[in-house]
Amino acid sequence: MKTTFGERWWNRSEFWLVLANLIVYLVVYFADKQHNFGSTESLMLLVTETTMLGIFAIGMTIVIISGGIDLSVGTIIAFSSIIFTIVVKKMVLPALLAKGGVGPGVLLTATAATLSLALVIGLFHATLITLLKLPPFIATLGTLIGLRSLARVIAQWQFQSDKVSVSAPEFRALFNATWSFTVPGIDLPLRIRWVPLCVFLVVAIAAMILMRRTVLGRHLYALGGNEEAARLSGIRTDGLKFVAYSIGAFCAGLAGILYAAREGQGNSTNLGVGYELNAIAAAVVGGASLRGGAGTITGTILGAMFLTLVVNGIPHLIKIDSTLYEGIIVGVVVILAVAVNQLRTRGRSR
Amino acid sequence: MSTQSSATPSTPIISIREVSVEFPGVLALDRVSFDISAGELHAIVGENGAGKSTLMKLLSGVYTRYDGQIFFQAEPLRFSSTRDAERAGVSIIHQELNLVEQLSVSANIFLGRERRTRLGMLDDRAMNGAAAELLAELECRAAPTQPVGELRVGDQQLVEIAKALSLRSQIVIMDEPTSALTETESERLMRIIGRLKARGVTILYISHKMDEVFRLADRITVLRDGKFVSTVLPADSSPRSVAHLMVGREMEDASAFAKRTPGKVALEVEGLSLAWPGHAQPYRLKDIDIKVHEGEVLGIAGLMGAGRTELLECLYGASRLPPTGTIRIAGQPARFRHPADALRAGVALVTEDRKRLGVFSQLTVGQNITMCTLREAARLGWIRSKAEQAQATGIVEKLRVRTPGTEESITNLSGGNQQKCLIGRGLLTRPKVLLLDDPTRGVDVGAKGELYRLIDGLCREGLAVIVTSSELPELLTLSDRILVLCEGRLTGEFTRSEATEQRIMEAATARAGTLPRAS
Ligand SMILES: Nc1ncnc2c1ncn2[C@@H]1O[C@H](COP(=O)(O)OP(=O)(O)OP(=O)(O)O)[C@@H](O)[C@H]1O
Ligand SMILES: [Mg+2]
Repeated sequence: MKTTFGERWWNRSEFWLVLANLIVYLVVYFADKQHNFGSTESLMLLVTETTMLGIFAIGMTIVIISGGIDLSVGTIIAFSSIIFTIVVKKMVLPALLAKGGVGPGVLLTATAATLSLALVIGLFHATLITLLKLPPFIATLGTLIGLRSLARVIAQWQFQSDKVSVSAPEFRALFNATWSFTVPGIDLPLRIRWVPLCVFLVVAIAAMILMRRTVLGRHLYALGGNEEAARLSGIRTDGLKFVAYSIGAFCAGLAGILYAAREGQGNSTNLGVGYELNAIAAAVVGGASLRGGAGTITGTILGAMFLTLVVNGIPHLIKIDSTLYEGIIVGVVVILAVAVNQLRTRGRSR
Repeated sequence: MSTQSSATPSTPIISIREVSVEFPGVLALDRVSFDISAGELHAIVGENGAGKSTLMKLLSGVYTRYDGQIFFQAEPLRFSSTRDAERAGVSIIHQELNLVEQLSVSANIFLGRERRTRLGMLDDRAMNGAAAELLAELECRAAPTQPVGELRVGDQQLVEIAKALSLRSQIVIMDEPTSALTETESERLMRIIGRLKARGVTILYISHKMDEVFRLADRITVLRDGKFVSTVLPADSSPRSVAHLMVGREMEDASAFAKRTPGKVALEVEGLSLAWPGHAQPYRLKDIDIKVHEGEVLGIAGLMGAGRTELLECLYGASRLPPTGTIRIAGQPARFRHPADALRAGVALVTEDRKRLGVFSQLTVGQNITMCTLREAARLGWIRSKAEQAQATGIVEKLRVRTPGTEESITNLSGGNQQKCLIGRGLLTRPKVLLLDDPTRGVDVGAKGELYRLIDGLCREGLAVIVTSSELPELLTLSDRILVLCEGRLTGEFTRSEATEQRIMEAATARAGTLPRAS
């Protein structure tokens, strides 16, 4: 008995996620009388939010596949936003700050500095986990709590404030730069924020190649699936953990830079709060197993899209007090999505 | 054990009628029909992947989807879960044990049926007491409060049997129960089986060990390629003819190898010791000296816990604590800190505990086979699928792994075929010294013969092999020399001509009781 092409798709969780995304989109689109969910603005928002969540959810997925968890993602985002804005402000004379002094060189240097620090955080996690044998949950929980406070301390020490703002247009363009175009045959003009989209695409493609096509990726799956067997297969499992946690922190750092540009400020107190849970939700909806060894980048991207659609769809369905119900709806939908996926795959093996 | 007592009584306790099971790509059972009589020990034999475990999983409610009918005491029954089957008096001891390693022995025995006090709290005292009784009956030395993960496989299995006993099951299914046991543990199991039979329990017994099957069984059913072949009485049959029914072709004799001539020293160990902190016996291994030559098979015998696995782990750089003493590979001193070092130096290990230390259950057959050698199929870390595929299919063909393809999930393979994949993983590293820790656990007779020939062939090309086995006949067949371990020390060395089961067993128990025992 051969499995047909159709059956192969039927068995892929990606197929079901695409379907779920379409259904959510269409339901919201048609339930909203003005069809605002299909407007230029709304589509731009959907794409941007999916890509932002996607960037750090991909990092989280790699950590989860390797059998770990990274609770510090939201905090790293806040910390990176502070570091990024501080470096920018320190490099540009105050007088020039509003008048085009923030050139590409400044942005690149600040980016490099921020990402290096994010990497250091990832390496720190891996050190705690491999050397002190701390469970990943604990090691990154420490950072979740401590790093936000450290970000505040640094911001206070440098600029006597919890937030560090940079209002220069070039700075904000890092997030806001848009590109408009029309697709032949559709008369709706489309706009996208291309910087986050490009960053996302680079991260996503690199991660897909890593996990699907490289030895390193295969070893990450092996590590998460059966750590002891991986060690006995001659895989240097400790080294792999350094790779996984560095990638996780690096992706969060990238997101932090983009969020700083979006807000026009580094924010140590309320940026990124709870984002680690969004990332975990995206990965799990996308088919990753919290026990490690299973999950795909494509799945996570579709999972991020699904969460974004649901969250952004709610105000279109509930016009009054939508934020009041948001948590309930998102919670229910996430559990449903994962449960359906579980039941489907279990039904296959029995 | 009498063989005629229950030849064909009138009412079978289980009737299997036209049962078929299909998995994607495999027809695991194909219209199988036969009867099992009450109170008999019915052995089921067949090659790896013949469908034995699948059939047992149907009878015990693990798989619920099948065509055909199963009658229990003439009533058609379809279990919808294992709980259902347990209630109907059927328990199974799986090929891959199903225990919660973190929980205690008694918690595992009473899992899902915990005893409670009047206040609804867990009644640990009652459960521990009952567990202790069951364990004593099974001659098991484990304490009811010990976490199951700390026990050796043999004792873990007894925990599963204790569970079946506590359920007062009328039908007990044992899927390759002795494949992980040493001789003495197997003996213990045989005694327990005898006692179960005396109580009138019907036992379904799967094994690849013909001597066991012929000693125990009242009747033997042979399956081949998912089909029922025949049911025979041991008295009218012989191990050879049953093996013939299993394979469907004449088998070559694997035991008569031409003499091999050992070459240079491939691996030399001097004064190897491994500490065991916090134990009454303060070492796992003590002052071990070993020499293995190219083209030689060195067998290591010993009871469970004698240190066989620990010894191989030390040679492979996989022990938790570093051993003391010197190891030389081809004359070069080697100090492996990680299995990766060992692999680079040409030492490979096939591990003993397949499920825990070998298989990556979420990966495919191909990915499991190529795990150690993926780098060779890659350029700059980039996997070339063709090269990887070539590695995997090479092994699948050479070792005749029965699988629909290399893309199949490894957990869909039968136990013996999973084992072949792991041996293939080791062989792909083209080792100079191959360490095999009980390599034919759960491998069928035909495949065992093939594997012996393969090892013999590799030896003639200059490979040095160190092999341990829970089956002495296997060691006697394979080895040029046999070393015997007892409580961490070498207590005997025999050449091929000197070695007999008797002498090895004597050496293996030589020191037992004379040294302080780990509690
Ligand atoms: N869950 C599953 N999904 C797909 N195929 C399966 C599954 N379970 C078993 N099979 C296939 O069914 C066939 C029979 O397997 P089974 O485990 O019953 O063999 P077995 O006789 O117990 O072999 P062994 O002696 O190696 O344990 C094999 O070809 C196996 O690959
Ligand atoms: Mg089996």
